[in-house]
Amino acid sequence: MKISDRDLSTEAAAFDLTKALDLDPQVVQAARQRALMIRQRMDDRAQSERSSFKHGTSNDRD
Amino acid sequence: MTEIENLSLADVLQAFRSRSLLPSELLEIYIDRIERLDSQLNAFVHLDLEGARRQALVADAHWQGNGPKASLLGIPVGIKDIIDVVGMPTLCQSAIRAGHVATRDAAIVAKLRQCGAVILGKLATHEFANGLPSFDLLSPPARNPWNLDHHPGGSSSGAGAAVAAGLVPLAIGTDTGGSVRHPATACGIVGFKPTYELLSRDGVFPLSPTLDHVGILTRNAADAGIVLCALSPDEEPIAPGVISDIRVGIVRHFHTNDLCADAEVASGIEDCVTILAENGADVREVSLSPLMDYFSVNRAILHAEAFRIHADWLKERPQDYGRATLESLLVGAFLDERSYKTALGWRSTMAEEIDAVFSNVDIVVCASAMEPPSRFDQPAETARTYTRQARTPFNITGHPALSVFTRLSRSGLPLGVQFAAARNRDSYLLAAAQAFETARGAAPRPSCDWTQ
Repeated sequence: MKISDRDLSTEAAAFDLTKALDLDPQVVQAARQRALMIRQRMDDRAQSERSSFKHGTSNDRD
Repeated sequence: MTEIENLSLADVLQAFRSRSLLPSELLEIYIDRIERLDSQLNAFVHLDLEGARRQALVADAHWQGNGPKASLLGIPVGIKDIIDVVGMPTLCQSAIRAGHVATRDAAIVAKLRQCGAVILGKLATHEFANGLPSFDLLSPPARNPWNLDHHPGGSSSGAGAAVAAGLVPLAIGTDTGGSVRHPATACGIVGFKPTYELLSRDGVFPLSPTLDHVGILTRNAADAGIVLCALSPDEEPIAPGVISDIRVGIVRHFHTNDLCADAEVASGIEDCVTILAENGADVREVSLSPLMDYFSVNRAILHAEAFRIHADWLKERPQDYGRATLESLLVGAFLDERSYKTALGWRSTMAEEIDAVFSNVDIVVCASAMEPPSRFDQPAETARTYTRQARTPFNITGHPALSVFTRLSRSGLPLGVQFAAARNRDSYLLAAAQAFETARGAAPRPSCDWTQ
């Protein structure tokens, strides 16, 4: 399955969607928080990989 | 003497062969248990007793005749309610699907019929196999037969509960982030997620198509092996492995460093490693990426793909979703395309990492759950068990994996451990698990005596 650029919402579009649907703000905030945690963890790994590459180590467990 | 509902599939098939038991007699034993127990267990959401009795009578005739016998002839099976069975609703536990009736069998159900299995009904799930056990959906959540106050794991909740309680000897579930292995762990049975796409997903309502697996829940690994051989004839018949021939890689950092497992869960994992080592396995410690990296990649892909599938319904009928499902689906709205593509990129790297481990070991042993089954009256604790687990790596990479019982906790709840193997070594994995089970001894069964 391939997801194209326009299939995935940006954060702004996500807020537009949830606002238009008049959803419970607590549900929306909880979902956003979970997404941010996933993105943060992935950014941390990317940072770690860049750092490992720069210092010549293969990965953060070896 | 073992009660008939607790016989292994091999013993049941032998009893059919010797004509000491007929499929219709076996079916009535299970129906009697369902009628006595399921009003409290909530494992089934739809039963087709008339259809099942008809199928069982056909199986009786085949066993009494002299013709060839299909490999699961007369074996009752329950199907997770996101998988189509012709003539039955596939409600996915959601008001969104109210009124739906499947017009054809999913490929896995058609295959089961071809093998002679008796399709008994549909089993409880979370809404669209997503979210959490919830009380704002079409049906109440299934309960754990070891203690009705506890969650049986999910999202194949009904499948785990039904097999453990002896309502059915075989159930078919799905596993996108651990949804076959979680209930198996929580209910003390075997939950087997084969190599990606070994069992067809045709006719299964998707959660995240690149992560979704169809899986098998049985009381033990030998039974899962019989079912795998029936459903996937390319697999070789499974004979118990010899533990001393197995090279085992134990991934301890998943439950000691990346997440800290409950002490009893950790002891159960060490019990398993000790049994394997004492029986001659070559056990060594191996390292993989941190568990939360796997989890983040799994969730980035899962939420992005699930959001796409539900986008139209989310716009048109958000009020028809349960709260937990809605929150889970909306996570995908906040994940941008870059996160999804990054996750797909890491998926390849992670698969290579695990492939490299399997060049040196035959099976990997690691945690499945980090805690014993949670209580329904502690929803935050229950939600936490969906993030504190080690099942997602093998959904990302497509390697076969299973959960098997280790011991009971002090409070009498089952604990488990996870085994995984190289892709397409499904039979080997089940043989290794069967060898472990033989060395461990028979797993206990819940009494299901809840009224006392």
